[in-house]
Amino acid sequence: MRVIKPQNPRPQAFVVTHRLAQSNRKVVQNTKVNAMAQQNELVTLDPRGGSTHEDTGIATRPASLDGLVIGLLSNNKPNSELLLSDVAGLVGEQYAIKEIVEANKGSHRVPAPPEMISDLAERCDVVITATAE
Amino acid sequence: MSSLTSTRVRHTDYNDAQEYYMDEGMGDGLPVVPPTEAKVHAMLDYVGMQPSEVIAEEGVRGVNFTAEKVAINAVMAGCKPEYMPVVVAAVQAVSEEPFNFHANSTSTNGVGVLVIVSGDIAKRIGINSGTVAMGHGFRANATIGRAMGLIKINAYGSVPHGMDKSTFGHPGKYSFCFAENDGVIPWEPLRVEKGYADSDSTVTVFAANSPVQVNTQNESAPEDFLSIVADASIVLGERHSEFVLALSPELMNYVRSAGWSKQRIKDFVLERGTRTGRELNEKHRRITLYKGDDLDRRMPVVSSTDEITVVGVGGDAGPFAMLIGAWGDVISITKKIQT
Amino acid sequence: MQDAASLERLGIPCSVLVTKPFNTQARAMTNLLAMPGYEYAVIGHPMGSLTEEEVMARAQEAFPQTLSQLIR
Repeated sequence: MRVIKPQNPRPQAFVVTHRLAQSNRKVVQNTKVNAMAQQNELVTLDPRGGSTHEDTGIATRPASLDGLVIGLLSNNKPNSELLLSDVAGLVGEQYAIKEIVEANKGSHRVPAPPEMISDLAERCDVVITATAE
Repeated sequence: MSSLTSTRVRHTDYNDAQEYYMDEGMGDGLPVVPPTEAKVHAMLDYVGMQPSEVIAEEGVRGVNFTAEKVAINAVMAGCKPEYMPVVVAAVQAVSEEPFNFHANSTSTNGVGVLVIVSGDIAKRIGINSGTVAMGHGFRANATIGRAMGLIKINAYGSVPHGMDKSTFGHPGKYSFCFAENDGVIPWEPLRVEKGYADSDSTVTVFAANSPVQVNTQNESAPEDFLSIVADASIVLGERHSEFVLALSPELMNYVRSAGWSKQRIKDFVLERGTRTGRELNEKHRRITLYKGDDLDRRMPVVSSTDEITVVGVGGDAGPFAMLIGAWGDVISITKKIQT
Repeated sequence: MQDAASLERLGIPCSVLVTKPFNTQARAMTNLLAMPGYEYAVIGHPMGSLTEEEVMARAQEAFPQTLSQLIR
């Protein structure tokens, strides 16, 4: 087996290492392939796609949370609001937080609506959120 | 024809190719048809698409489903070129925002893509709508359903143990495709119900949980056997988003004789498949879901009859119904197959 | 995770809390969102069935991670 150079290389976001992946297979050199092998040889294509999302970097972090507005974005899973407010409470014990803004997107199954994201971005300096369970 | 841009892999022989796809986890665990350039081109030629043509865009993951990637996965699944129009329409359907493909192929809930084909194409390409319609033995059913599973893993990135966190999953994740049987339904076919012409062929995709078969024990009055079905629907869980109710030709005959409409069946099943808020609360120790007026209100499995899809399918003997629940916050999508 | 990506792109630092069984999935998602090294807080599982005291213990588990993710 030999990987042939892609004609149009691009990020392969889905090349997630599978638990069974064993990529240490020997690369077969053309010169070592005998006539019979050549006859049976086949070339196939990679079925994996990728994402068009581009790396735009992440936000610059503040030096301290003193005087900042902290947003809490819940996914509405049981205990998520309590967990987020507990974390905010712990932050509040250490920093002089200006305000806490709470939002709940209503379902863990969908992204927050754009208005909720822009509202949080407008009102908050940092956001704590929870995903999945 | 522009050229294929996917990475090429050279294999010493057919078995070497099988081992490669297995080892790299690029599949569902079953052997695949090695996707050679010739086979992939045959798929694309059949639908007259360029490899780079984007069949559909899915926004959450930023995935563009190109004709090339769809064709490669369809070849791997064992599809014939004439199945490609169905796969293309199904890819367009799952990419629609209300289908919520990212979330439903990520969730612990563990759904598969159910493809229901309605219309003339089913007969032409041999999608089984009769005996063993939801089971094995028919290439078109098996490979179209399987192609959607492979596309989900490979082209969309829902790799088991990676993005796919299904607690159990179910066998329909390998493949789940059948056709509606026009010959047994006494009413408008699914494609017409969904707003297409009777002469069109359509795919309808569901984020499907495991099917639950209901034995109606030879009751022939719709009130009787549909009561049994309604009781069984409770197992799907309260506040479900949607479900499919498949009725066998035998049950369809009873429905036809009794003159029941599709809507009457939906109304009946929705109304009977309920429990009161109080009964439901008894199942919950930690949370009180229902209060006040809701305590005595009967809570249906889904919120309206629009969320029940009734189809006629299956073999000519057997008084069975099949319930297929869909994952929450997903709306099934119907698309016309371009033939 | 998409919500955090959206907020980060609007200049708002985020800390995302994830329970342990979802760690691999969360990483797959950050890769997909073109944020391959993005740090998030990994805490114990489950969450939904916990008592108030148990939730507080999870919060304490998250707290130091959240601080390091939000502060320079």
